[in-house]
Amino acid sequence: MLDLAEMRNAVIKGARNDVKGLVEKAVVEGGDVSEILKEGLTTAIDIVGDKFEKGEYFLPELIMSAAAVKEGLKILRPLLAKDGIKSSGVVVLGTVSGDIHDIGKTIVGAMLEGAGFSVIDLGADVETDRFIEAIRQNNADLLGMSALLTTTMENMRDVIGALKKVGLNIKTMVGGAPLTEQFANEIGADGYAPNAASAVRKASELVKG
Amino acid sequence: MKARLTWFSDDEMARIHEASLKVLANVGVRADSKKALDILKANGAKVNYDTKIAFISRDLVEEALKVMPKTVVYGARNPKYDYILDKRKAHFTACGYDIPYIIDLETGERRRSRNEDLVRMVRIADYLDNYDEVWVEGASSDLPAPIQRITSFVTALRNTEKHISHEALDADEAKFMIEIAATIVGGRKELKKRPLFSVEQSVVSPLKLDEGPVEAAMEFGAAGIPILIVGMPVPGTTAPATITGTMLIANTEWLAQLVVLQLANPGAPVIYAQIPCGGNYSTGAVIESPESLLFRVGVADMAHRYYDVPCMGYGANTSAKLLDIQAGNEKGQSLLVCALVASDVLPGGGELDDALCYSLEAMVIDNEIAGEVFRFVENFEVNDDTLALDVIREVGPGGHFLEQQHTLENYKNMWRATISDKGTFASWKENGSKPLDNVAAEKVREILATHKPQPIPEDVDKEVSKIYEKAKSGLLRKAEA
Repeated sequence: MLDLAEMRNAVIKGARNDVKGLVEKAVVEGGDVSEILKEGLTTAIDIVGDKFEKGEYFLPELIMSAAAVKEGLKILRPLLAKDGIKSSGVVVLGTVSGDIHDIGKTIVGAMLEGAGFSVIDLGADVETDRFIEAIRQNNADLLGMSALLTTTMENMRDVIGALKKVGLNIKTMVGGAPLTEQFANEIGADGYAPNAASAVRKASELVKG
Repeated sequence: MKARLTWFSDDEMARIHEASLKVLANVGVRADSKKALDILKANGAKVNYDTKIAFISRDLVEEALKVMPKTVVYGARNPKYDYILDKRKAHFTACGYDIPYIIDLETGERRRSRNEDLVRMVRIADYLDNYDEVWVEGASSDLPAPIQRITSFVTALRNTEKHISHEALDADEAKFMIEIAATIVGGRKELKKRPLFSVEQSVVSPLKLDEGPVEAAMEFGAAGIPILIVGMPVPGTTAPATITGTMLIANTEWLAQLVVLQLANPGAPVIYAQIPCGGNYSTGAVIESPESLLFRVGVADMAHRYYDVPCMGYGANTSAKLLDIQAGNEKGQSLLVCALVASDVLPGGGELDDALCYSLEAMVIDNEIAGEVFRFVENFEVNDDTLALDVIREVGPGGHFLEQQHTLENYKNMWRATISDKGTFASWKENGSKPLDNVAAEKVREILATHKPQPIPEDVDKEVSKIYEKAKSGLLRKAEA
């Protein structure tokens, strides 16, 4: 059994260079890659998530910790793949066409990565075709769309329609300030989240289910 | 004004300006519009078309500041409502734009705003004394997305004689809006002299000039329509986690957009309308906070004292979801601060939930708060007449002043409530023990029942309809393509 307490602490403190060094060391010393992931990184990010729910930690701590986990995952991913272990899921993210607001989506992306998802962030002002291409290319499990404007949020409807038309049977979730659960249901999205933390939970739910 | 709130010293403002120039020259701004990049390149800026980043030099900034107008004219359908933004007085208006939700007046339910709600909202602003102009607050969500804004634009012009303010998300929308307004005021030359409307064109923090809004702004600039250059950086998410760092991002973005607009149309009327805001560190959303108020002061400092240009504040704003104590507290604070810095453009009337929702009752309440606050910053004289020594001599110790001509002539300068309860408990009880939002709701109904704004003259309105129909088919066709 490896002693991964130091690694967990580094994640909790958001010290990404320390995490990088400690993961490298653990791998070089022959540690079990799954155990490093689970006990060194995932457990730690769960603690961070818990502190966030309790109102002790906020977005900056969360994102710093997620960035630290991302550094560790960069090293572990290829090794996990060799052992046949996949990520929590592949998510394509983007802000819809006509809208260049992306801070909310970026926060969701960072937190999904912290939770072990593989995230392809297409950025903002993404046309339907680009979403479809990225989904196909990456064999994505989930599409997440964001919008800040009441006019551009209508484009989400078009994207979901297009996915059906080309026969892409992928789960979708949506978010953004003017959105509601009601709107998400109306347009046929599989999920909606009012903030980044619940987006991660919803994403896990949708990918498993 | 007798007193003015300021924050930055002259040195501090100079530092912020110099730091902005460093960011513009070394970090650059991203412009998603090829038109904007081309015009920057043509004028000597270093432009990378792959990354879309432009590096803007000191010369370009100084030239833009030189040709930028120092005051801005706001025209209106009825010339009695014309005024000039001259950095000396705050002018209140509704909040906006395209706010998706409204609190239903009858049911109290929060629902999507429709074009008919906008009609009511505009009429109320047309009626209330403290709304100097009318922001097109409610979204016309019941209409197809491509024609929502052009419809709410025409609707607003038809339902108020005051100056209106809106936004266009691309150059085509802008062209239609200009054509309609020119038709109403009697031609493009007249429109340039007395612009019937102003527009808010956003930058996206940090340091991104959005394609549609920038290109729309260039159309507006050519037509002489005043442009509110707006961005909303938040400490820690879209700007550094300090007041000064966020002011720097806001200032830099404003200068960048200013340069583009003055290069495109030298002398285009602009307003320093950056509104950095506090943030919710659990959700990342923009919120009303003491930092928001600090930024209003900082912006007024940079705009009025450093660049000598009109500015925008944001008052009557609140994160509250209904008209409760939080709403009252936040609205009062923000209006007072903005009045004390003479924010030339002061939106916020009717706002709830950080501008995701509005209410007609809130418009009436905010009108009242604005009235109080503007009274507070009004100038008053210390002279022989106001000292009133003669009157005091006449009345003498233990007398009273109610019988004096001087009182009759002067007491109306003192503030009187329009809806706030300033009477006795007994009279309040007798009148139904109503909380303020109920009183406001009654006032809303009264206004809607009795106030009919002057319509656009029939022959002119026929022309407006023609252009509007053309605009609708054009914008819908473009969306299908």
